[in-house]
Amino acid sequence: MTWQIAILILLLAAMAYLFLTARLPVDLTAFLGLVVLILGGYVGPTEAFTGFASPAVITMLSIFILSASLLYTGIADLVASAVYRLVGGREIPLIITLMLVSGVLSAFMNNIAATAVLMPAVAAIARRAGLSPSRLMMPLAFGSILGGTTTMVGTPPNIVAASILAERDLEPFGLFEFTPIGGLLLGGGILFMVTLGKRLLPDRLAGPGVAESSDLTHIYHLEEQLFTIRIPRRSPLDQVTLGQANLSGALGIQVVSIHRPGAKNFVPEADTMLKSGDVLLVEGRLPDLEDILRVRGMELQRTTTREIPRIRGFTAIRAEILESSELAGKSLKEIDFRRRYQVVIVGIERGDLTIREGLASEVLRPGDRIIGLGTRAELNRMQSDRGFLVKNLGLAALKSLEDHLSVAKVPPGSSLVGSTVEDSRLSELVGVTIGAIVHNGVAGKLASPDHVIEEGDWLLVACDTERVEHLVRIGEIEVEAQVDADDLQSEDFGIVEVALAPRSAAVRKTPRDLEFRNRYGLQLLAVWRDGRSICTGLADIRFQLGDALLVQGPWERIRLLGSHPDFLVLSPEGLRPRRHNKAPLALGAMLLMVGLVVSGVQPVHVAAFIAASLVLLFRTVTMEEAYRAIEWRTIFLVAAVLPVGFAMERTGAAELMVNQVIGILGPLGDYAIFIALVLLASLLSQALDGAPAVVLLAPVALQTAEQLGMSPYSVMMGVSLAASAAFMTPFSHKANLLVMGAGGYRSIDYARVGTPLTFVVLGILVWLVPALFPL
Amino acid sequence: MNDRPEDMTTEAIMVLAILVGTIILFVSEKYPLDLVAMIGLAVLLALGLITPQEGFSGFSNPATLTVAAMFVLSAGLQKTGATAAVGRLMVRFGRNYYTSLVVIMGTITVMSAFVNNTAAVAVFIPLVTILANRRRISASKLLIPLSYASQFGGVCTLIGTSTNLLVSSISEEAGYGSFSMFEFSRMGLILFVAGAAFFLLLGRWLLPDRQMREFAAAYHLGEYVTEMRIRRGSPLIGKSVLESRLGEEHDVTVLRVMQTGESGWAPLRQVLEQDHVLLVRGSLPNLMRVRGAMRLEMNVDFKLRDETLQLEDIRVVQALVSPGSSLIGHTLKELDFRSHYHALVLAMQRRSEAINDKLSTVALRLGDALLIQAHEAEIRALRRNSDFIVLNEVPGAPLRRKAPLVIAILVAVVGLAAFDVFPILVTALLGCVALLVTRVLHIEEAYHAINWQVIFLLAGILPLGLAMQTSGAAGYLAERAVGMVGDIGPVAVLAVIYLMTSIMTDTMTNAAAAVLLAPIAISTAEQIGVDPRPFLMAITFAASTGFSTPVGYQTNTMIYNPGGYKYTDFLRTGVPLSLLFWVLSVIFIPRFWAF
Repeated sequence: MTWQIAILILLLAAMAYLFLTARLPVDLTAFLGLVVLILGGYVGPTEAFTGFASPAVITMLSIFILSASLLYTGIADLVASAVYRLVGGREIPLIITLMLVSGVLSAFMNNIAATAVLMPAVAAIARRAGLSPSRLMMPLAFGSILGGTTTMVGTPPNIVAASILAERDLEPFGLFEFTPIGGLLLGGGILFMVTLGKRLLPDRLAGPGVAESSDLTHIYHLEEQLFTIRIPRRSPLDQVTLGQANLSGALGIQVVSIHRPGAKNFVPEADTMLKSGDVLLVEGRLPDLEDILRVRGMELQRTTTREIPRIRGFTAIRAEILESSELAGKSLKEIDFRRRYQVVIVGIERGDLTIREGLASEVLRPGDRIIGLGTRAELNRMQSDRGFLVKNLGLAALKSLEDHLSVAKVPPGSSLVGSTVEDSRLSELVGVTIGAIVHNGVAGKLASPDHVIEEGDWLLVACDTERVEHLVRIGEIEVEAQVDADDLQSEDFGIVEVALAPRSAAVRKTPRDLEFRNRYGLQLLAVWRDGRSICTGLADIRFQLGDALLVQGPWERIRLLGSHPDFLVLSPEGLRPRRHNKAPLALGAMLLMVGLVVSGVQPVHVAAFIAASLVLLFRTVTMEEAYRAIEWRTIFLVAAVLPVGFAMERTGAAELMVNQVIGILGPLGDYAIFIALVLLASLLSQALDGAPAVVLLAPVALQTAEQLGMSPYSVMMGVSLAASAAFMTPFSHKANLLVMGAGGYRSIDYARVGTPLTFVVLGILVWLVPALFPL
Repeated sequence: MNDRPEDMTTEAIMVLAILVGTIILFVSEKYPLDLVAMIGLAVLLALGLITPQEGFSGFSNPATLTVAAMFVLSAGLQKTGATAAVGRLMVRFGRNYYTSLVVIMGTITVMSAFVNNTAAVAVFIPLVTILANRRRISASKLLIPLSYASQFGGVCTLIGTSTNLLVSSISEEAGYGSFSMFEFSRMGLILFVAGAAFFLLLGRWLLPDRQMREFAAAYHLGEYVTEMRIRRGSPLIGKSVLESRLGEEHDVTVLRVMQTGESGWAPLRQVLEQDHVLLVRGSLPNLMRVRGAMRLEMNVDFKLRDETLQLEDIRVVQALVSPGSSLIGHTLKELDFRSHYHALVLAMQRRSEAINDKLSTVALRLGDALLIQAHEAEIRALRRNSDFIVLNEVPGAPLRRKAPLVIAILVAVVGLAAFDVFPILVTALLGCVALLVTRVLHIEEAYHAINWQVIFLLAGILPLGLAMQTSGAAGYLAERAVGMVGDIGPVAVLAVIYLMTSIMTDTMTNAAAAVLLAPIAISTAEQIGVDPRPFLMAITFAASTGFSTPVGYQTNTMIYNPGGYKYTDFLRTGVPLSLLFWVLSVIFIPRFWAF
């Protein structure tokens, strides 16, 4: 083994590690590998990029565009709605039809698009048939993955395998050469799903998307989150717009809808005027709201630094956190600053900024200047601490907080009375930091967390005075009881589930980034992820592919969301307007491609490219839609991994590996080696996309075939079909991930149903491929 | 000479036919450029005029891929806010007209020598308008120099603009070697100095002085906005604005309900009552119809001023559709603009013509200026949105910690290529991978940053150049050309090539001009027995600079509206400048690259 081979194998191992652990996006890993190959001189700079023009990449590009044209002209919808009409409510016929239909669609479309287009129909069918969507979503995804194997253009692994054969001047696979075996795989898959698979599929009524909206709210555990509040007579909120009232900022609640006597329920906008007597259906945490409302009746008096000496024995400090300090990188809460130093931090200066709220969870950085209150003795102790550089000692330290200090009186009957400083959660919920407490007019004490607040106490607080005053003003609302889910639905507005579309721009963004409510006019009620529902902290949750969102709003807005390319609305409202009149053109282009290939006039990639250009020329899809529809990740992944295959062959690394394999398995015969390759391909594709798995295995497979005199066709067919058998985890195939939220699945469900299915598929493979294409 | 047509093979004739067809489609602007290029390629493939391998080689061509990588690097730089920071410095140092001109041209030239011209200009436009406002110079005096100077910068380095890379790769394929990173720099500097001197000396007279008019006047809004009083018995009484369906049925927008104190802006739920005065926007026939149907009284003395449109927090701004914006090709209706951005589009300008009728059904294009009325907060959001360039507002990219890192990466990319350690494509890829690994960009952002239109245009058009060569069409055209001008010496040929490229660049797209003329230039050089490199340089310089029309170069389209220019303004400044560059190129190119 030369050092060149050694480094290459090391590189392969590193790439495999990164692929498996997904520490980096897989396409980035592939590019890193490519860079190493170029720098190491394994491939020339020009050669390194030939992958982008390879028949495999061109075919994939073109098929992505063609499948987008089937989508945008409504042909795929037509198929989906036919299923909806024709099939009854019984489970077994439903599973069979669904898998057949998705299989046939994805024979000519890309698998992910075929799954996505059928999802709304499947959700609707499940609802109508009273089945849990978990019974149907997985068969849908598996059907389209299996259907992809039935033609050469149906799925990237097949395309790549054909292209690799062509590069070696071997006759590539024909368009329908995969069909007999692929068809049987689909058949086998269907048979499995209606027998054993049916038993293994989870029947999770706790999965979203079932029957009625009341179930939806139940499933998403929304009851605890929804309650109503009433705006009393003569409330300061009367005749104030919702935007000005800022209920979400002040009270942490989202207004879902407004019920006004004598009017229909409606979803408010920022400029909606509130009126006394309105009943607002809100979402939020009731205990939090009750805690927030403790500030009711509090009177704030702004105070200046000059007035503070009234509270004797106190002074302030302003100290910089040094680089060497052990406090840097920790939050005040973690440090337990109040207990540890007997000093209350009321502000943090960072650069030109003064942070006054959410101090407890703020992570300190070197260079921050903390502003604290405490007794002189304690502050002196701090001065000797090596982690700080004291800038000011004395009330001048409070300069940057000048406008934010107040004295508040705890009114009689306040719900604050009797609770400790810590329990009151004033700091956490409303950003009020209690610095000191004056009890009975006696000199103040530093507010320790355990200090019990009593009636008539004076509190020295640091807070955004205006915000608290606002809060006190609007605090006079009446909290009513929990509500029925029916309040959420009416003629004008309803609740639907929404899945994220493949390549959705919303992925990795938060609802706040997206300004979800403003932009779409819909209220996000909950997110279904990983088998459970998330209802709190929604504004900052980062969307992932596979999430299902529960949204509520007017039907017209829901329909609008349905036409948005980033979302799939899982109900009949989700059907988007299509260019139906151009459907024949899209079909014609598809047939032209098949015709050109079958008649042998053009190789597959040229035929596909010509067909793709035609659908673009006929405007069945616009260029922008086409660029959106292309899965760049798959394209770049394949293009970047192809040179690794060259390098493996050229350096002799492939040969070396093959010799090892033959050395071990050779005595067992060709058949054993074939099985080993198939297993390897299947294993690789569970972690990686199928196509790059084929690229990486091809040199080894072809070399083996050559050395043992096996047919390269049977070996490559086995490898590429096995690479499509990616059922074991939600991440094995994007189609799996897509249905995860909508089906309410957990990772374990894929392992349970997918593992036996993988064995069924591999079993059929190792039996049929050698039978039809002798080794 | 008469028997020449017989010399031409059928293949060459077919290639020429496709060429002519492609050029016609390019010039007509009926189909998008990338689509035309793809169709051209499909036809070549279908007719078997090139092998599939040649046909798809455009996708793996170093020029195509380097351009893609440069898009990613530019995006990285922009995300850190480094471009905007440089722009802000510029605003600080521009004191009067001359210093402003010098700083603007200097900074944009340096900037666009290394990043994509359109991206750099997009960041600079709002800053230049701020500078112009502050120094009381009209923006029209500064924006043409901005756009042209970005093109000067583009010809200073190999990566300055896509056509440089394109010609370099064609030269390499034809066996004349690729160009080095700073091969253009001497010539580029001469052109920059000449261009700067041109504007400093003549700019005052050549550049138009278009004072900022009121928005209402500039967009001819006066004819579309009026006041109407609700008379007794009007069917509107008791309905909210939303329920009145004025928008849906009559295409009339209620901008404001006066006399209600807290009316606010564009109120949808405001209930209308008798004697309310509505500020409405619509075309005259629609307004007349509404007046009749709804029993309204039109205020005949009403005269629209900008103040009427701006309330306390409600402001009116101009925003341009930025390059690569996701709005391009969509209508306001499709975008559901109002609810999407919480902003009203009052009017639109394209090529300095106001568009007011059927506003919501016009498909947007690059450089369209939208007059937008929105709440302060929404305008801030628009400023951060890369789909728009909001004029007179500081763009919202904060200077982030990673700026030095990105700049270091960019320097390394250029440096490694300049010292020939690796070809530019490899260093650019290295740079992209570095940006991704250091998490300056996420890989999805990287894909998004790539302007696929440009990539597919290049990938589709390159094979056409190849087909011209292999089919003999280029040779034939070169022969004819040599027959006409051959006796007058190579310098004259160079002058002709430059002129032709320049004209083609101004009328269609520059990439296509370069790809189509380069094979002809190479054949011509071979036939008259000189080195083709000077010719290729002439093509590069001519194709990378398009001054004479607003459509010849994307940056010109972008400054058209904010400068309030007319078509002739580009002719008046562009033609003399183009002639100057032509003369300088003809003089200096043979000195730097000997025949």
